[in-house]
Amino acid sequence: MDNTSLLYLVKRDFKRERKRFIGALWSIFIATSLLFLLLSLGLGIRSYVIEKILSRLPSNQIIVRSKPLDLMGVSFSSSKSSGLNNNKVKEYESWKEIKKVYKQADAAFPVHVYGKLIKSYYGSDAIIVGYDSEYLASGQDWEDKFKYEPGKPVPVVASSTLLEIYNEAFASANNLPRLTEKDIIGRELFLDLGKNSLRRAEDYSPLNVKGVIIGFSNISTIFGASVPLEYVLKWNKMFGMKDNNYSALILEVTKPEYVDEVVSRIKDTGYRVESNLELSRRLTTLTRVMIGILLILGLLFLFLSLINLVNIFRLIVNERKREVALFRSLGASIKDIISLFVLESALLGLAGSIAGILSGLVFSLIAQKYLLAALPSFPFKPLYLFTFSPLAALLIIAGTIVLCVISPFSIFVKSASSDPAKHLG
Amino acid sequence: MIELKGINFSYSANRIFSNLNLEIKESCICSLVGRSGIGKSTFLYLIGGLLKPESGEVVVLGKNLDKENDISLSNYRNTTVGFIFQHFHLIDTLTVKENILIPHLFSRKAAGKEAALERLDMLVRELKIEDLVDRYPDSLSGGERQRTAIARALLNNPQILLADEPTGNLDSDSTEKILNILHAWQKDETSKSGRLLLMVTHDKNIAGKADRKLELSEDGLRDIDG
Repeated sequence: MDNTSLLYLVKRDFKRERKRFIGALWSIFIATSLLFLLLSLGLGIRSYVIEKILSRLPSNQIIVRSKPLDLMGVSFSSSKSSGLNNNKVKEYESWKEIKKVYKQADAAFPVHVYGKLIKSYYGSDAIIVGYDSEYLASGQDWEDKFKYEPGKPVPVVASSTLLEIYNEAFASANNLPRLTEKDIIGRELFLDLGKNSLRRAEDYSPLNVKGVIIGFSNISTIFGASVPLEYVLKWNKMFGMKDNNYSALILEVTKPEYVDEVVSRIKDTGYRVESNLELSRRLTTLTRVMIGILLILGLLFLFLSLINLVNIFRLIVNERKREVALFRSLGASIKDIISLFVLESALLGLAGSIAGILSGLVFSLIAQKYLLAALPSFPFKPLYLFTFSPLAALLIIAGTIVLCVISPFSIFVKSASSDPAKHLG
Repeated sequence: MIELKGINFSYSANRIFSNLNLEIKESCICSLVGRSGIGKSTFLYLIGGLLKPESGEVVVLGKNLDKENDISLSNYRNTTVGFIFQHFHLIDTLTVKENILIPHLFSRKAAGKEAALERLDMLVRELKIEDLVDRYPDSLSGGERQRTAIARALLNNPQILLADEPTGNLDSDSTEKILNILHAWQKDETSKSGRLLLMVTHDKNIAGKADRKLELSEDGLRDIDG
């Protein structure tokens, strides 16, 4: 049978069986629409996780801390007994897997920060963390300002995340204006070192230091001020710390594949190790599981539509037994009959999946618009819910066609190869 | 033209033919009679390549049907033999013209649609159904339906026509007309290689007009006198 004849018969069957085929199309349409919608939602979550979280975590960095957990800079004991000193820095620098070692020191004394914001003074207990300039400031606009200069206001870097939290939670809840980085950079603030609202340092009188906000960073401490390392080391000495221990060392490995090995070696020496790679892996796995669940849910709908398709073809084939037998007596081969049914089911899959994807796209765009508008502002509120992948759409179309052909295929073969004499009477 | 050698055939556990033999050497009108359920239709389907015997050989025009694959057998049914059924087996959703053209849809010959349409025009004129081509089968009389079925069977110009009680559902007037058409087709002298009309019938008068008369019974197949 040539293609013209095949298409002629398919056209005739679509006309004759239009009610049943519309039923099959409808179920494929709904299933592929839901599948595309759920998959786009899964991909949207994945993009959000990658953009908002994973992209901020350099995968080749490892943070080494002393074993006891240091909470909000309240603990004095951690840095004293950390053992993370210059000797340790030298040791790590000698490892071939390690490219660079950055130092971090947390203030070992209470701190209160205050400053003029809008028209009033606001203050809060905070932590001060000192970072290697090279680590925190490298590549930033304010790189040259983030340095130790005695006698000048202390350069302070704030967290971009803190600004986001202020704008999306604090400002909207207290009817305060939203602020941009530009509104804040250059503002003065004051650091009360040695006292906060809970306690006061025993060994030294509190000291008031003037600071200036020079910029924002994603990697600085969230609920506090980040300053050049030298300031914190100096203040820690003033508040009674005898040695020059660091709170943490940030190791940059030469290649991400060395991370696991280095983490394992350091853990064996009794330190607490945080690796971005490990966190990335956990988040990636979590995202994959979520996409997997959504995909399974979508495939379940597709499976139900295929059951419907198989039942429809079972009915059609059953009713067309005599016609198939007649076609066979007039010269149709088994292959001709199978081709006819396969083309019909493939066209149903193609039309149903294309319509389903288009409707899924339109529905998700509408849902995204209204859901995002309806959701209140909150920190890290996503800008989008769905991510549309042309590859996913093509895969759904191709997969639906294949499944539409495979699912009822045994019925087609059985019908085409059944005994024609039996049905001709 | 046709040779059946030692044919054995069963439907499930029911033995239909045991060591059935037949030879039809020349083109002729051949009738087959026998009681209901004896296997007359099965006999036609074996010759038409729709059924395969358990053992034995069906040789038609020198072709051993048992050794042919599905494509070759389909081609054989499309071009060498034509089937006519008692219940016509027309497709109700197709017009007379579309029904007649069905064998062309499965044709593997190079001849295109133009040739098929020319042949259709000739057949509908000869069978006097040229005014019915755009009508649907449910609006036709029994005789008109059978003439449509005959036109369909003859579209690809077969050499053998297998007719399974072609007048079984027709009144006497229509029966006469259909028989005349079939006899005229077989006797057509323009056919170079000769034609065979193998017709199953219950009607002894119809059977009596055949060149060769066969009877199928539990004892097998035998020639009977007119």
